[in-house]
Parts: sequence; structure tokens; C-alpha cells
Amino acid sequence: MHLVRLLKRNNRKPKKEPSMNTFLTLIDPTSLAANPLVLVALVFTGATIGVIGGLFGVSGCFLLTPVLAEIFGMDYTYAAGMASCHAVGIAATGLRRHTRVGSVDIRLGLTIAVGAAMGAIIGSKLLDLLKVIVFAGNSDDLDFTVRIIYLVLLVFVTTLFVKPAKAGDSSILQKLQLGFRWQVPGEPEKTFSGPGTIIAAFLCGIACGFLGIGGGVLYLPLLVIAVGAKAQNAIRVSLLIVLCSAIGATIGHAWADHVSLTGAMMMIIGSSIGVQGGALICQKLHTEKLKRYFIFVLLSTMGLIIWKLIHP
Amino acid sequence: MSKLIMKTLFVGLCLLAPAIWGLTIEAVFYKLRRKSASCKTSEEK
Repeated sequence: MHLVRLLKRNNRKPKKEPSMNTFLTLIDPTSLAANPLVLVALVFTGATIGVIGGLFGVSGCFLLTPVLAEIFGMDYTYAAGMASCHAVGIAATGLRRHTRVGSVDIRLGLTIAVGAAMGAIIGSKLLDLLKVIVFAGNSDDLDFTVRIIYLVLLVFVTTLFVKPAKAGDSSILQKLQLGFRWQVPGEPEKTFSGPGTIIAAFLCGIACGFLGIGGGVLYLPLLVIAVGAKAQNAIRVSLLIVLCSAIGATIGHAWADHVSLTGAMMMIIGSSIGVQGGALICQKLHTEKLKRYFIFVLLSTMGLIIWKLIHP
Repeated sequence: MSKLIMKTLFVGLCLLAPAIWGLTIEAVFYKLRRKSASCKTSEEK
């Protein structure tokens, strides 16, 4: 508890708005480098998130943002910015690792990614606008709203994983008759609506930019459940989308000075090693067991947010 | 103007630094994996 209190005292909120006086203030607006203990804690947090990312093929930012906000006591805007920056590194690493094993449907991935990246930029700007216009700079009210939205999203994703679509049934986007059609990755006999997928990816992108998550937790169900792609193909396409979405969100957050590059790099040092360990464990575990563990991680994240809502 | 350059530099750094670090570590681990795999096959032979 002492460490948590110490971390909170150092990182609760920036004492003043980050100035543009020096480049150093820009790199480290929350003065994280002032406390070596916080930097070490960030490396360990990154390593843990990396193991989870490697295990489930996601960037792990759906867990990282609440951890930074609730345990490190960071402002949600800074937590979202750092998580987006961290997602760039993790998605690039994951994509490189997966492309060594098999090919990625680049055309599908990039087309969805364009919609997702545009959504992510809008999402990160929306968070900024909400803070300034709706909440008049009141971070506590903004944090409460973000927590509620996060909770709703996690409940939705958990429901998708608990109740998967029946085998043999056409997915939602395969049934949707809107605009041009694309072939389902790995299943050339099946097609799905292209514009419908771009719209869905755009909406997911807004959620990613707003909440500072890489989006694997959203794009994976989108590709597996809504598009009907096979898991391995979906993971590769999802990682490409996550990378593009994270790039969009990072541009938005960095432009608004909401990224502590020092903190993000500390986490990447840990997570780039952790992700290799997670991928090794993943090879030894059965798919059903992996799914159950993933639901447990989602429920734990929900528990952390609910606990913070009850005890602000 | 310098403010704009600094911001652009910062955005570029936020994108490039994590990606380069991640890819470098992945390349190192890939070489290690290949090395251990070739060691295993030579042991089996």
C-alpha cells in the first residue's frame, strides 16, 4: 500500500499544464523520471501487460489504461496517451512475430485500418473536447464518465466471448447486404459487406482513441464473430488494424501533450520482453483454456474499475 | 514556428521510438529462437 501511496503522491496529476518551454518537459509532462521507483514499477507493469498481450494476441492496453489510472493514480487523459504510445510498440512486435509464421490479408487489414485510424483520431480529440467543454477541466467528472463507458464496453466484449456464434451460421456482416463484398480471410467461398465492416471499424476506432486502448479486444471479436474469419487469420489482421489505430490515437494524444514518452518507453522495455514469454506460454495452452483465462482478465479489469467507482 | 517543429518532432518520436525498440527486441528473440531450434535439430541428428 505504501508503494501505491508513494506512486499516487508522485503521479496523481501534473502540478501544472505541460509547458512547451523545453523538449524535456514535452517528453515527460508528468515528471515520472523524477522518481526511479515509479520507472521500475512501470517496467514491471509493462512486463505483466506484455505477458498478457503475448498470451492472447492483443496489445493489452484495455488493461493498461485502468492500471495506470487506478493504481498509478494518473489522469485518464495521460493514461490513455501512454497506453496508445505503448500499443504502437507492442502491435509492431506482435505483427512482425506473426508475419514470420503466415501471411496477413494486407488489403483487408489496411482498408479497415484507415477507418479505424480516422475513428481513433476523432476518439482522442473527443476525450480532449469532453474535458474542456463538457467538464470544464474537471478531471474527476471526466474520469467517472470514462470509467462507466469502459465498464459498458468490457461487459459487451465479455458477453461476446461467453456466448460465441453457433458454428455454421453466417455472421452479421456476411448477412448484411450493403455495398461491395470482400472474401472472408481463410474462407474464399464466403463474402461479407465491405462498407459495413469499415463503419464498424470506424466506431471501434472512436472507442479506442477515447479510451486509449490498442483495440485488439474489439477488432478480434469484430473479425471472428462479425466477419466470421478464422482465429489465426483474424489475429494477424487485427494486429495490423491495432497498429494503425494506435498510430492514429498516439498522434492525437501526443499533439495534445498527453503522452509521457519516458513512461511509455519504460513500459515498452518490460512488455517487449514479456510478450515473448506470453507467446511461449500460449503455444502450450489449449484454446478453450486461453479463452477462459481471457474472460478472467476481462472480469478482473471490470472489478478494478467497479472498485474505483465505489471508492473514488 | 519552433513550437510546431517541436510538436512534430515529439509526435514522430512517440511513433518511432516504441516501434523501433519493439522490432529490435523481436529480431533479437527471433535469432535466439532460431539458434535454439537449430541446436535441437543437430542434437536429434
